[in-house]
Amino acid sequence: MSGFWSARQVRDAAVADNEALRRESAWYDERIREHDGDIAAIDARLAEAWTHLCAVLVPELDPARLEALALKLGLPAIGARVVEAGTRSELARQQGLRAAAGASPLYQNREGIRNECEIRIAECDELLAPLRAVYDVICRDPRFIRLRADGYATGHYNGRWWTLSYYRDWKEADELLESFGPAQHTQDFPALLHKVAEAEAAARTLQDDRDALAERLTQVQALEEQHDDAGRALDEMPQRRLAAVRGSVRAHLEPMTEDRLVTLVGDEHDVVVALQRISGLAAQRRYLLAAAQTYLLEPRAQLATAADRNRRDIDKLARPKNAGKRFEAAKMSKRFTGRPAAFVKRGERYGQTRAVVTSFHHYERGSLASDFLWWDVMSDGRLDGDFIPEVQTHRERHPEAEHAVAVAAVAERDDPANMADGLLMHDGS
Amino acid sequence: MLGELEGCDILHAVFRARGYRTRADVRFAEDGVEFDADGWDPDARVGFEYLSSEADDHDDLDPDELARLAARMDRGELFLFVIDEAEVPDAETLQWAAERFLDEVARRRGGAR
Repeated sequence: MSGFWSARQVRDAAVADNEALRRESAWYDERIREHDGDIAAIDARLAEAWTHLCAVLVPELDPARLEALALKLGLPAIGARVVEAGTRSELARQQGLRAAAGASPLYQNREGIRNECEIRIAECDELLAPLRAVYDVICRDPRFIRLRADGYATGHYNGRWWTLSYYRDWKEADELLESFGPAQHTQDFPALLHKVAEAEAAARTLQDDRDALAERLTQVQALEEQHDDAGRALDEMPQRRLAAVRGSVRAHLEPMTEDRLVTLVGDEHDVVVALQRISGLAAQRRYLLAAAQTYLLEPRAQLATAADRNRRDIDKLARPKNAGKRFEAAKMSKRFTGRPAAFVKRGERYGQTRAVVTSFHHYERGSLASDFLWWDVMSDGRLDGDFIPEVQTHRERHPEAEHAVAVAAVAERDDPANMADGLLMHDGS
Repeated sequence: MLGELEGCDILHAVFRARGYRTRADVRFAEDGVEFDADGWDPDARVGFEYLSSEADDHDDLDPDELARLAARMDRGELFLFVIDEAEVPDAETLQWAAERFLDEVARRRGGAR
């Protein structure tokens, strides 16, 4: 290979590189969509984990347990007396709603009212149909709309006999009369106008009646819903109150830091397991965001710059005066082979990181200790996590721990071959 | 939409078929009203004016001038068929309207033409 590239070689390489950049851009877009899906899945699991923790903390509305938890969490709103008072108040409210609906004459006579309304609505529809037949079609005709708006065939018409518009109106009125007059037994346009107006007025009255009947039906339906909803709420009162208390606990705990949470909720085995799940899922979320930032978002942002540079060079090297230029092969090779190679490497790293993070489910292997790093458990010490700020900080604070953690993690695995492999990679071999 | 040239051709044909000797672009200047009539028979004092946005004819006859012409038409002193180009749906309607206008002129003059 010669020590120089010709202008033609550089230009061809830039063209090929831009094609590769387009493919890479599509790859990043696809991975980012995938990443958004991963985050949504983690968020759903996190929500489930919170529901689980609250169910563990409040398994039932036992007064003694509620009192103890209210004290422990500093949340008087879930104290036994407050919850009981809330339940009584909600019971009274729902009973009131059900009684109010039940006492309404509309509700008591609902079947009769519904039948009557439906029959009368059907009668209205029957009477409305022939009236609508008179005006529906003609009132949508643009000629009729304009003539009526201009007051044609009335004292308000301003058409002058020496203008074209006067005769155009005349012609269009004749055409409308020819189309719609026979069905209405009318011989002239004023009579047709009168018929239409008469039908519209009669329909308006009927429509008002129909609207009132429909409104009465809606009122009956609303009362039925109020009665039934209150009945359901009373039937489900224990579950609803339990859900409300759990909701208060979650709203109280969710904004807290992990350390504060651990201190506050205690060390019962089930609680610890539930907390570990939340802690592990939160870590998975942070790791996925960091991986996307390092391996997807940042490099994708640089693609446009590389493509612009290639485009500029393609244009420049197309000029005859530059045809004879020569370029150092080492530099060109670095430019046109180095970046694609880095892309492949980044893609592999992202894929490995995503796989270990999203496939992780063993939260019982974690810990709530402040110096514990979820990354070590998830990656089994096989992946470099220094691109994650918290991993990097942890390594700086605990330089001695890395090897020990890796050894411990690998030791947990069954396959002796995997164990040796993991150790070698951690030794930097 | 029918253009002014085509519209004027149709109107000349209708007016001439009814015996009027309309000429194109005749200067009309009477009673403070001045414009170039698209068709005008000076002897019969019958004609037409095609108001077209293309030629800025809207500016030729302002509302005040139209009102003066209307008063003279109501007195039977002259008859000018005024067509707003934007209101002409098709040639057939224009022809039909011109015939009806000339019927009305004849009726107002008390005789057939």
